[in-house]
Amino acid sequence: MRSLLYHPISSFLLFLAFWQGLAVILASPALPAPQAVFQVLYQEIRSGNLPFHLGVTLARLAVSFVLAMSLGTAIGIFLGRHEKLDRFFDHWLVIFLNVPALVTVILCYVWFGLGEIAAIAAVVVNKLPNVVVILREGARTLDRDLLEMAEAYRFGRLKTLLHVIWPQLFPFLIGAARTGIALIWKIILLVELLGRSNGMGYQLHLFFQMFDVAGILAYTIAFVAVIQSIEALVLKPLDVRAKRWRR
Amino acid sequence: MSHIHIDIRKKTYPARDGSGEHLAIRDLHFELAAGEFVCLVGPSGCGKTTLLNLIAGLDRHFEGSIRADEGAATLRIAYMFQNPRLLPWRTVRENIQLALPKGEGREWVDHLLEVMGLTASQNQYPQRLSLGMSRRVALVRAFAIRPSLLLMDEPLVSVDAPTARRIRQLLVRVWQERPHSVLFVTHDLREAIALADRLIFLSAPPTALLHEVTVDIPRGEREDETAVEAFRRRLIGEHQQIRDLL
Repeated sequence: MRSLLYHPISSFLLFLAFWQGLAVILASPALPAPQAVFQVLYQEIRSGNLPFHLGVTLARLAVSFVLAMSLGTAIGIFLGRHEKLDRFFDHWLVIFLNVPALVTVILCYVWFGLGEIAAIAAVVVNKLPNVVVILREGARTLDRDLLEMAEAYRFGRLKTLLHVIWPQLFPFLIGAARTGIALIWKIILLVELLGRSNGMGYQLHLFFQMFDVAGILAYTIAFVAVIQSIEALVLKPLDVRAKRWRR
Repeated sequence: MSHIHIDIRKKTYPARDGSGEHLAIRDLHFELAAGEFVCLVGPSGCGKTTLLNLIAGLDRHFEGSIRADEGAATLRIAYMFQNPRLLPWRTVRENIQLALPKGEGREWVDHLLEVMGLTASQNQYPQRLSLGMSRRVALVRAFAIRPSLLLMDEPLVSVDAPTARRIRQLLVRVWQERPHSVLFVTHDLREAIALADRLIFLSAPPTALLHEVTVDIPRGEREDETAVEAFRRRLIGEHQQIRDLL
């Protein structure tokens, strides 16, 4: 009984009850009851609106995620293995890490126009420094002894990369991917809100203009559920698989 | 099998305080006959590991040459390091097989695993193994590539005495089964006498060859500690340089 009380589902049900209570007490359109939100969610799914906008946002997420991860991984490994270049670029990396996402998004739209390329570029530029920093750290901590062993046994470049370097970098890559998904989808919403005519960010903007809080919450729930599923069904199993030798 | 000539005229490192160079090895020349078991004995920090790294090709910054009669290209070098250096994310079997060209030597590896008592552990990850077992895996990996030269850098350091004795016996057994040159670094004179055909004593840095001795105890009597101890006493008694070194 006691363990049931502390189960994550219990906390979720408790939150719903709290939300319901607060909605009844406030009786305001600013906080619709859970039931009203789930009703909007159901209607939006049935009408096809939500799947369309969700699909558009997920497509942008996939493209920018792949670009940011591959570019960031390559640059991170390169800097991690070349001390002098790392020193040369280090300050720039810190500067890019601290540029607000909003500034990058606005500048990309100004420089490249209100198009898909600008939208993707804005997301990639925002995420890139984060991936570089994580993978650079991974490349710096590569086990020298194992690299020497691979050289002594004439592993060759490909075998060394696949069996010696890659497994050491994988936890860093997964770390970058997990924080990456969380960061990228927030930036994508901003990008869509400021300069696109479809996607979740655009829809949220519409709901905001109409003061439709139920719509905002319904779309948020759907999006968070999808991102959580990607985390639970793809990233976490990959992480577990990569660490199975530690058992 | 190849006769190997080691000729290192000069090996330097940048000095730690940045002021010029530190001379690590100077005029070190010796030869290794095909199938010969040679132990390099010297005090800690005398550059034994540096020497093995040069021979293994891990460090190419030196003056001199390391060559085999049949040409360097035919020289298959295996290196057993002080720590086993196994890939923790690969099983015992995979660690060994990775050192070999794809699909090669399965039966030989099976045989080595059996001799070393590792058949039952071949699908385990290295983290599950004791230090002694990990050393045996590293030994199998070294033998698996059928080396013409096996380099061993104090491979039994920090292993308890009975385990070290067992690994030594296994090492000699497989080496006799398939003879190849072995260069075994140690600072333990008893271990060196128990294993080697010839002992090479190295000086403190800059490393140079101090003395060479042939071990004339028959292989069958090497496990007899009295014979080894008698040889050691004779060696120390006869050579002041060795006594000072140890």
